Amino acid sequence: MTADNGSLAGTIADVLGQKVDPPWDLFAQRLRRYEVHLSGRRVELLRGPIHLTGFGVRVLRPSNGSTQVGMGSSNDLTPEGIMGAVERATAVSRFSSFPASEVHLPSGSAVRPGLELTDPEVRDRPEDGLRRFSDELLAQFDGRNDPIPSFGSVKATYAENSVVNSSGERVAWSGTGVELEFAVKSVGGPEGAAPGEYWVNSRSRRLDAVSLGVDVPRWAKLASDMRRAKPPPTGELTVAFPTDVLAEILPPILGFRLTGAAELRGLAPELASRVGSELVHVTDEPFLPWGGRSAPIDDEGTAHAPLHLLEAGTVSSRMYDVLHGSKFGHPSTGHGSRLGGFGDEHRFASGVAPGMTNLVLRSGDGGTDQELIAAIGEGLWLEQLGYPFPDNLGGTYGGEIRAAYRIRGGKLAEAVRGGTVGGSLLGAPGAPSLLAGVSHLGSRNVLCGAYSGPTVVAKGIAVAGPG
Amino acid sequence: MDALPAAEDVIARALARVAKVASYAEALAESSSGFGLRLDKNQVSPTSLPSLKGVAFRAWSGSLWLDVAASGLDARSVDEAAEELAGRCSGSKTGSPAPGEAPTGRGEKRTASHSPLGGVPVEEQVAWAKHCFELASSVPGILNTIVSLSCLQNERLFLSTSGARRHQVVDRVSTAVVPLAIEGGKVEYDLLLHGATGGWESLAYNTDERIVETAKNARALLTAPQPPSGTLTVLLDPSTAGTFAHESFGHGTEADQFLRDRSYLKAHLGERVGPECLTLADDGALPGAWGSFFYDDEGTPTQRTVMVEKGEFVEVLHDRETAAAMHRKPTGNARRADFLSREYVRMTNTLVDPADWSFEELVEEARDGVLLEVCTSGMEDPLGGQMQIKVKRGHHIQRGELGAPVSAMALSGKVLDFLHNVKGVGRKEYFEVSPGYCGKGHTDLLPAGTAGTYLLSEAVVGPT
Repeated sequence: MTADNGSLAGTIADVLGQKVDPPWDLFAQRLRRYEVHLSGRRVELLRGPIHLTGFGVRVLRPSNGSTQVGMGSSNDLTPEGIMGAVERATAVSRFSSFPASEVHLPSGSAVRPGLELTDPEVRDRPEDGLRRFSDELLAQFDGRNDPIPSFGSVKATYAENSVVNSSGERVAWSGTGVELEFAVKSVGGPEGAAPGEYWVNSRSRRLDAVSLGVDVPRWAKLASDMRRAKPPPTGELTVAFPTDVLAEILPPILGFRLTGAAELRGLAPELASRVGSELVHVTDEPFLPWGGRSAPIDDEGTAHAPLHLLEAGTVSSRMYDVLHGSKFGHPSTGHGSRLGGFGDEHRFASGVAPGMTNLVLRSGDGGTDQELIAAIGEGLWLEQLGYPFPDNLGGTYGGEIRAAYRIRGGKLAEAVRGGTVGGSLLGAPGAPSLLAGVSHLGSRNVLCGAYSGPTVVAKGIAVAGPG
Repeated sequence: MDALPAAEDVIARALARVAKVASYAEALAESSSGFGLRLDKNQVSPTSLPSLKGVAFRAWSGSLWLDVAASGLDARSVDEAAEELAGRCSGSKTGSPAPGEAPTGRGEKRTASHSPLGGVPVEEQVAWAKHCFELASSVPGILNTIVSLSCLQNERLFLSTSGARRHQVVDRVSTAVVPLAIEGGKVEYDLLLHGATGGWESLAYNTDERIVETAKNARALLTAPQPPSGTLTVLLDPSTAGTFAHESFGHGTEADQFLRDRSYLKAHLGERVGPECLTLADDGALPGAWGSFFYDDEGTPTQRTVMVEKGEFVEVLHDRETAAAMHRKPTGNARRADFLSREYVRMTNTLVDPADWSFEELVEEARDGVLLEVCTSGMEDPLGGQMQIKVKRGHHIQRGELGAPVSAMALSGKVLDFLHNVKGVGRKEYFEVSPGYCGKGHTDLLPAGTAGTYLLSEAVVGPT
């Protein structure tokens, strides 16, 4: 990362010159991606290079005690294309109203050096890297007839990002992102059961098996076990949520409910209110090594730092960008965020809102997964939900059980598939919610994209099956 | 003004460069832009949606497909992408021919609209949103209402070395009115969603009566009890029935999943899977529907494809490669989410055809169970054949009558069991198309309509 040496945003800002009244800011990206698509054991499609280069410009205009905000984005880098986006942003801003009387864009922000964001192989030799990775993955199935690879894809993106604003901020950095989708299928055998599948979706900044969670023996066992799995009973159970399951529930809900955007809509829990067990400590950590949303600075160019969000289950702070911070008389906490697309890396075309970087749930003293299972005694070990559909407005989650095991007598027992698990994420002690029901936390954190946490055990989770 | 014909010469020249070394190649150029608006009690946020242009080139290498994409339509970017692809295809003319029939058709289509999007001033759009906000927020207990509007124009130009040229411009409008009821830290809401291809006229769906009813439903959810759990008789409203047709059944009819042996439905093609009253189809040519367009991204015209006809599973959805492998014709279901994404077999508008039951007859037939309303999400399981659908609210059905409201629910169970247990399908007058975005797995989201009428069957109901 650098303090802007000829970045794309800087080049575009030079085109804007004196033509646009301050304040304004600009986020620009050069993105390049390669992909391998697999069908069974063969490569069915090679993609790349896939290029996307573009920018998003935002204009901010004071107006009668509020601020008019306009956003325009484009991948047309001609002077006409750049000024066209500015004109669209200016035109829509006239109809906009945000309740902040004064807005101060950052300048001279401290940029965190030395962050681990870029896998050199993805940046410099992406095609070789993808070939190596997919060959190594498929080689693990050599000589096997069951289970077999069903389909998959590996996508590797390199992104150069830059931010410029009318206050003189100029920052550039780069990073990589990798997405793995892979399904393992179990078929055949004398029992004649229907095929079983374990379908993995994982993300990392690195193109390596460990950080993408590749574990073919485990995937194969899950695909095989799910062939004979049955739905759970209906009732309340103690449920273990491994990191990759909770990674789809906790960040989307907390990442909105603990922001100034939720506060503005009356949806944020009060500061100092209890929303979970006292075992629960959650921090937003923008400098997490290899974190999916780690960055030296936020998407508005504001310096950021770790922020404690929940301490002992109690709300301790909220996340703000420049606009929402101004509304609530609070400086930006460095959480001006543009949502991702095209992998998590494509952000220039989205608007800015307060949002999380990486959420870290602090580990506990529950020990290993085996020790947690022993401590649970009777319950359910979730391996995968179809998708938990986190609802950030209502604060609920819920999905179909794709892979799980009953826990009986402190040991993993029969496989479970079908039925649903769901409820509220946040709740005061005693309330029926996942965080209020937390009874144990594993002792080791695992990184899943932009979330790091241990296995979480929660009591009183609603499970529904056919009976 | 259309953006792509101006770049056609540049794209055609680049494609000709690839044709020198590849037995077949095609280009899919795209230009998209639009306007969005979000309004609530604190802010009005109009947005100029991203203005993006680019082109994807695909070529057959003699053994597999190769894809590249250029950002922008300037000659340099387009030429570099084509040159890159040509370099990878070198020698490919000696390999096997590209699978399937190469497209040759030519055509020019655009969405019909009584009131095109570009002609509606921003002031009028903001005034519409304010009206919705004020109406919903006038209902006691509603503390805020989020109103959003999105108008997106998507232009695509398909050219192939086999002589096909398809140019289309599709306008889509979607709206959401979300009244929020908040009490004692509990947040509830209901949704009024609509989406269509066309123009400003589609906003007529958001009548004052519907908006007020949505707000009242949000308030009622604050005190609504949890739904019953377990295997129950379930009556799906049109949005939920459509999501069932799409997520639970439709993904298993995408023929690429058949070729990978990744569809639980493969063994059942040609079999009876439901009663005579059940017909399921995919229709990319349904006039005005959210998921409609004119040509797929291999140049095939969209069409209505009946998958289940009067209970019998008769057909699946194809692109040119799967059609060739299964000795069928392409069905117009080859889609790219955008020029940056690959082509896959995808659905368009997936629907449950109406039959002849009235709502009252279906409730009476259900006797004891639950009505599921306002579908919020669904997830596919093409190999396992399990279903997962979530709804925002519902009602008890007791002794053949509609009972008290209940809160959000999740639906699960085996899709084939659900189909076999279908007892009734509602009339045409209840038929609705709901807007959605469909992923192939977790990626490549694109507009897809889910459509249907009331559908009565049996499934596992649980909390959410």
